[in-house]
Amino acid sequence: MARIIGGIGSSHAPSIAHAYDKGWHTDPEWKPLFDGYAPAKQWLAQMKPDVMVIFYNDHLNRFFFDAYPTFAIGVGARHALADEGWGLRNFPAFDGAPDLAWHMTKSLIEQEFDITVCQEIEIDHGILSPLPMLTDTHWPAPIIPIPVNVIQHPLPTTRRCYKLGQAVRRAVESFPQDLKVMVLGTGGLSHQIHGKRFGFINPEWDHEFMTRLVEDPASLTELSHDELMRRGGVESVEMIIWLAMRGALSAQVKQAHQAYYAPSLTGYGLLALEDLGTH
Amino acid sequence: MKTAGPPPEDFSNPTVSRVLDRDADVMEAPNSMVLDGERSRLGYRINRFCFSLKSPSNRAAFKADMDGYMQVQGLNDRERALVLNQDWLGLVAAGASIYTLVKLTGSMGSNLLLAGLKMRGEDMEAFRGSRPEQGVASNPNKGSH
Repeated sequence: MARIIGGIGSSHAPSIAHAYDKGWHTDPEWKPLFDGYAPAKQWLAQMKPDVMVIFYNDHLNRFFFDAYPTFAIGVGARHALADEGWGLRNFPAFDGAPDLAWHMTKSLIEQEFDITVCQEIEIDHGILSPLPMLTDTHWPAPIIPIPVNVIQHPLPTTRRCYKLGQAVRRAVESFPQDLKVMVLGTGGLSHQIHGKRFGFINPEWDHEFMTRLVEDPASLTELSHDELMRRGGVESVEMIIWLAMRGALSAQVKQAHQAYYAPSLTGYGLLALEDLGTH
Repeated sequence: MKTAGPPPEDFSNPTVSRVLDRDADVMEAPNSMVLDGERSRLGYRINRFCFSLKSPSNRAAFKADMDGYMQVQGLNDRERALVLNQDWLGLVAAGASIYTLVKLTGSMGSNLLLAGLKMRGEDMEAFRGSRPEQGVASNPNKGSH
């Protein structure tokens, strides 16, 4: 039987990718960010996942507003990288996990999550910003991308994202093959990148969010999008994606690592959580 | 071109004001945009144009003849002027998503941080002073988000 071994929550700001590609690992302004990822990277290597299921959002790269899915899943054997408007990054495409992905699709739909099924998908910075920080230049396991609409309202509710995570757990656990699955959720934390409120960040709220996500995630599912946007800025509403990751984990988790750094336009948050194997 | 299709609906300025008033109320901050259905209809044409810049050949065509490229994309006079003036606040007010606008900034010699400073009406020094931890924001060349 496949099982979930842990979860990672991470910011996915393009600046993370930019810093990585420029090699600013020891740059005084960026070193705290890289240092924050180092223990999680080591932890992930020790956990040796066979597959990584990644909740994230597509920033108008695979999808446009002509047809923008609320939830989607990439079921292909390979996932290409997206040119987001400034050229491709120098990374290989991702391997997919089609057998598990199609099984999850069937299970999710039976659980009444009518998810959009993508045999082709292009991966943008929602995954490609944090992954090299956690794995460097080679991908340690195939990925199953699950994009969530956090861009064009109406968005799925916070509770719905949490329930999606719970449904993904059931889907994984009903797969007969013995696989270790790591679940990631990317986004945020606090930031607003448009309007007069450009640059808004709220470190106090980011810390509270991460603490509650570990200890009492159900309390966060009560938060409306408006409340999240008030506290963290309009674009921070993507924090609901972390709830999908958390929903896929056991009720009690062991926190393996946490990091936070807020030098610029967003609160860079990172959480690594070990699953304790109970519902 | 992937984004070709029938011309989207046109909207007039009063719609913008009404939506902005509602957003200001929700967000307690001026010029904050919640991209809902009404807003996404309003900005569809601009967003579709920006989305087309994912393609390197479209970026080259746009850089070679910005106004001509936008005319082919169906942008009206007002929308083309907003782009050519790099009026980011105006574009946001017209329904442009920040996630499509960042595809435009690179083709216009700008980036998200520079666009953001313009939207805030602040220089780099003032912005840097507003950060809880000093550093990254001090260098505009390091300024994606």
